[in-house]
Amino acid sequence: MATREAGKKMIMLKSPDGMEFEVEEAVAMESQTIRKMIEDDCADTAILIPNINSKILSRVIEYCNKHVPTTGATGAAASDTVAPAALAEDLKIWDAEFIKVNRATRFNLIQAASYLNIKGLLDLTSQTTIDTISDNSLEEIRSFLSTKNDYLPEEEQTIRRENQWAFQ
Amino acid sequence: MDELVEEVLLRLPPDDPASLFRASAVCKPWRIILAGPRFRRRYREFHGTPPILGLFQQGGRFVPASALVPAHPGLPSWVAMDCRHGRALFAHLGITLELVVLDPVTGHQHRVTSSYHYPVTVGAAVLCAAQGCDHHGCQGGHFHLAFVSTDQVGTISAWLYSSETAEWSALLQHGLHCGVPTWYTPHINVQEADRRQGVSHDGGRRHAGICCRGGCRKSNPLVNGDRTRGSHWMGETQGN
Repeated sequence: MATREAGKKMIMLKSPDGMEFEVEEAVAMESQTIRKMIEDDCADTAILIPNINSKILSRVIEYCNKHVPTTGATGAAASDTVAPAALAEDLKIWDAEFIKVNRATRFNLIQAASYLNIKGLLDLTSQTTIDTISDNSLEEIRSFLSTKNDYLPEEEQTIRRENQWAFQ
Repeated sequence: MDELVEEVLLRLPPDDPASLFRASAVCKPWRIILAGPRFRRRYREFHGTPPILGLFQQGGRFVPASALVPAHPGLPSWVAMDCRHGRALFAHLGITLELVVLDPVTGHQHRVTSSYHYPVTVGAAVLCAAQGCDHHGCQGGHFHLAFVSTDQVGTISAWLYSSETAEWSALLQHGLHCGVPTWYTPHINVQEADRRQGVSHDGGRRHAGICCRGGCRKSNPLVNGDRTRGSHWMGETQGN
């Protein structure tokens, strides 16, 4: 498989608020959506990323920059130059810091990861939300996620009564 | 918006079923997502092999292997016969054979009486009736029961029940007398195969064999059954 060490191909990404981001093609292709555009020759000049503002897009690019395979062998077997376990641990620590954002930003990151089809970012952002659901009471979940409780009090009581074991 | 919520809820851990119940109590839109067949299918695909939620003792009692407390605790005093595709099969042997197909998670029961009288020993299996089903979203759907029995003189009979028609069909109505001691328990062995029907002899092992579409391989009496596709079950009695 051919690798590209020098003269890395660059791609321009544009957010709806007019910001432009020049990124390496390999970084952009961490997004399966963009990868498909490039492979289908739909990315000659700049790619407009709809519904993702510049603030979120820059965070997404930051994530992709960190997670792009460093060897240049994109999509192929990983290099042995860095111990995979150490690399994975480094990424885990980095991810934990990256996701320390407020609720609105995290929601926007989930949206962006879903649209751009970046599995790792979608897993990271979603899992953080799931941890909230797993570790907190119903009231805390609703408050944390700004979710409106549309159950009638008696309906909620019935659910709790019928599934008492799940609420202990 | 619902799609994003679904994407997040897919990550709820399968080994903590309580989190699914709690999430469904957050608000109605979440409950609609979680209870829908689309979510169930995607959840199964996303997490792959589902965890074992529990076991049924021979006496019919459910013994949890996870935090799940099922909607139905099993059927004490019934015999657990089989479990596959989320359905558990219990039997009660009297003049006729009473069978109950139970979904332990929802508590839904379907009672069936076999038309065969005075069986001495029986084997029975439950399998999804949907053709080509991958069993990712067939909960509550139609099923087949396979039933093999021996009588007092060692005659083997095999029957197939369809929940769709609510009828038994005799596959070996006159049986296959093979000199098998009457106390030998016939077993249903569900394997992959195309639609076939037949009877075979194999050295010392006599088979009353029948195959049908939509089944899967032999499994132990676990809540989740297994995940194979394909279709063949075989009632087998071992001789000398």
